[in-house]
Amino acid sequence: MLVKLFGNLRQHTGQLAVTASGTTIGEVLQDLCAAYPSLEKAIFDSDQLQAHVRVMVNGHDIELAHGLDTPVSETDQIAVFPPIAGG
Amino acid sequence: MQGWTGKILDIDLSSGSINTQPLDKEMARLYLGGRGLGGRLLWDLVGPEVDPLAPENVLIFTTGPITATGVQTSNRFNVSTKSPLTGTLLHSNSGGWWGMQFKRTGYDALIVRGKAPEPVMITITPEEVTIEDATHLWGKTVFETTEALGQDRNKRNVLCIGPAGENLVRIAAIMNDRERALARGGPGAVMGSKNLKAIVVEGDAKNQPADKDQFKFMLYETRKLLKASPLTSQAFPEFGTAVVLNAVNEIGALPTRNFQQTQFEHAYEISGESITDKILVTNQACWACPITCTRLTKTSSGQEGEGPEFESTWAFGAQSGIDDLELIAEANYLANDLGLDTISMGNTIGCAMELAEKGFLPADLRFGQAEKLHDLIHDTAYRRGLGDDLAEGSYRLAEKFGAPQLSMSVKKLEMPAYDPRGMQGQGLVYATSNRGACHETGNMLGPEVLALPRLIDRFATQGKAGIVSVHQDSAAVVDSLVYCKFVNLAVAEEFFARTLTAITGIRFTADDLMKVGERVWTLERLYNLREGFTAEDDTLPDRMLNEPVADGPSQGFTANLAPMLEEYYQFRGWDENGVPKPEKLQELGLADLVAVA
Amino acid sequence: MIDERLYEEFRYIGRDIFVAGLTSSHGGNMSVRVGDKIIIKRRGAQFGRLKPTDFVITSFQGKDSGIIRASTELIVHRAIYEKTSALAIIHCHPRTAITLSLSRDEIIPVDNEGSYLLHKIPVVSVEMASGSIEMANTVSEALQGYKIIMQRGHGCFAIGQTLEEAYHWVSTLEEVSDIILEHKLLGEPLIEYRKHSEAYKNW
Repeated sequence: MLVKLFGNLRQHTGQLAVTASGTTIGEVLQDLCAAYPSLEKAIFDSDQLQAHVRVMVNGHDIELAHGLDTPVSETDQIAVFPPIAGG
Repeated sequence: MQGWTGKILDIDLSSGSINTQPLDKEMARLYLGGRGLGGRLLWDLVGPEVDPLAPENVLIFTTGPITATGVQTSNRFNVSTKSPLTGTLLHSNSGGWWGMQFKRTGYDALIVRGKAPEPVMITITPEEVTIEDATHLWGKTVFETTEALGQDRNKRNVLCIGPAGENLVRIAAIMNDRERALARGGPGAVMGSKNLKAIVVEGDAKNQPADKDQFKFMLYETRKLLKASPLTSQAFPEFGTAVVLNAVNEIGALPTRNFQQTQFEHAYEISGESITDKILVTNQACWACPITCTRLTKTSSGQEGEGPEFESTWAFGAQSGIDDLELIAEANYLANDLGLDTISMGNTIGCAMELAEKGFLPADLRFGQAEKLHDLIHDTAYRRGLGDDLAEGSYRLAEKFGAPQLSMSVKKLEMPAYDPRGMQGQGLVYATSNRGACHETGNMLGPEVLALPRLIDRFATQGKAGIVSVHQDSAAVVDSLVYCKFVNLAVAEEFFARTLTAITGIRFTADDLMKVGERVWTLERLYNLREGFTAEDDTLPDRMLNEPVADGPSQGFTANLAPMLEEYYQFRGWDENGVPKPEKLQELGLADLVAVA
Repeated sequence: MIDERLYEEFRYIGRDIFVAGLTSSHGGNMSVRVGDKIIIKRRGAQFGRLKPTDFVITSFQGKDSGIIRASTELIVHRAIYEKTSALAIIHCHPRTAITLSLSRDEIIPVDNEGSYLLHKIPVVSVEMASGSIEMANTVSEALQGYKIIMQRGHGCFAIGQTLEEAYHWVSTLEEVSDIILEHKLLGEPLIEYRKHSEAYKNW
């Protein structure tokens, strides 16, 4: 499935959108980090996501679902944001 | 001075008289400065019988006790007046250098009354204050005026209006330091109605803290926290405020084509990332700020300037169905040069586009016509052709052409870049904001999208009222001290309280500050009630309340305002008509204000 | 009945607090403010095993039947909501913090996290240490200046915009306290690694 990485996370993959696979968010992110090793340090803090890194599935934050255990399917849109804010 | 200078400059342009009045100590303690002090003075000076564009309206420029001390972001200032767009109390604030420099001339605030017989400008230094003829400047743009009057970063700062303010455009801004804006609610038109072109300040007084050691400690702690937060230390400096655009779009809350959709298919092309990739020259900071969120940009046609910020990018972008980043940036430079509120301008253009597409407005105008931005903005500032109608703001425009329901506004102030159907709490903020639909007065972006401080369910309605109220009070405090709200993203009120204590030598707790915030909020509410606003005006456009989102993550939702509003009035201690109860007024020390009214 | 998401939050935070040893089986209480009502754990409910029926909804001021079943310290919670802008309160009995409170007027962190987040935790003393008006006034006034305080020999009171925020302060306080205690037990001199830490006691 397609995973979009925003802000300064793009530099780890060289592009906005990349493909990855897995049945849960955790698996998808691990798959991504295997392909782009520098990404791991940018978003993970041992086996947890770093504070303020937001992950969304079809526009819904995983924190309000099942976190890294949130199930995903091939057609889902995944977005990962580094810590950001605006006005 | 230790926080306050104790002096208010009072200028009457009708008579030409220049006076100084003392700042009442008790008023300073209860309202602090900035938005709070401005609102309190406005309560006394401008009643319901005053037309916003008449000489009897006033402009009150206010700084706060932290201004010019050198604490992070202590450059900001506020203007208070009655809005020609909404008829409500208006507070608007800006950054840059002017506020800091004004404080250095030795005054806490400036009241401008009346109307000059010919265009004039005011110059303020510690030694003297003069009113001079400015007919040679009338008609000049903001950039021209700023340069002509000798704008010099840290030393001499210019605040002025452009042609939009001169032409009493209801969405005109007051600009300072070239491209900083006091914009929402049309204060530029009030300044234009007074024949006041510019205010130049040049000072040298120092705002020294009472407890230097404690002040140094708080400076260090604040710096530490700003550095520890990746938002203020990485995201903002690197990508600017538009860094949030992709996130708001992803969740399905980015208003598109006049709030008809909640996602824009070209959002990425106009996001903070794209600005950094394509047109950014460097970033810049206001005085005494480490966050450095300002963009200095340049387009391929050679135009350059500040921005665009998130809201401006949205307004000329998704709201208008436009994805050409360079034309959006150039629209922003133009709006700054002519002195216009970019949020209201872009929102109104989007409104006009929908009115035209649906056959209400006989104009050759469609969503996505980026090439038309320039002329639309230009004609608005000069009230030419369709621009004369756009100059009235989206509500009066839509009403004139028979479709007021197509104006995306509350209390006639144009809604900014968040769709309430995708963020329920934001809807409550828009509906209850005292200056009309505004996100700055209680922005729920943090809790509802960015998990700041914690993530809450953006579709839930129970419990939102409390969080919104606390955010509104908190924003009022920030606007009265005058800090920049971005500091508040990393640094809480308990820091502000201790910093204020160190500066003034008077003990303030975090709760004292929150009480000030609540007092300011309630005073503004009382002002609007006195003007004739009622609970019926605490609402949202019909589209938000009754048209479910067609697709995307927010599909099926409407703004569920009624239960949130009921809980909100209860939380705030107001009755079912949204009128503050006597006990609440007693508690906040506002009872005597109402007794007189 | 309370909102399901809210119940979930009470339940998992209550469990985490109990499992972490921050309170005994039935001690402590938590509440949130919604509109002009308070939702509070009922008297006698187990912190670590909260059921949907373990909550009382009572009004902000005045008397209603809710107060019969509400926590003993409802009066303190009301005072805090009246005097501060808290939207959530957690009161529990973190052991090390209580131990430290017996012999000092303030707890000052030596660890990094505690220094950043709390700077100083004041200790207040109340004669009738459970559910008295004196306690309500003393605790609520102290919380006007701090987000978490200790009541000597009794426990902590923490406030926040959400239960999770208040819980964060509680958890941090006990971490702060454990590290202070263990440092003292080690008996080795502190190598100061922080700048301006001498100013924390004036926080």
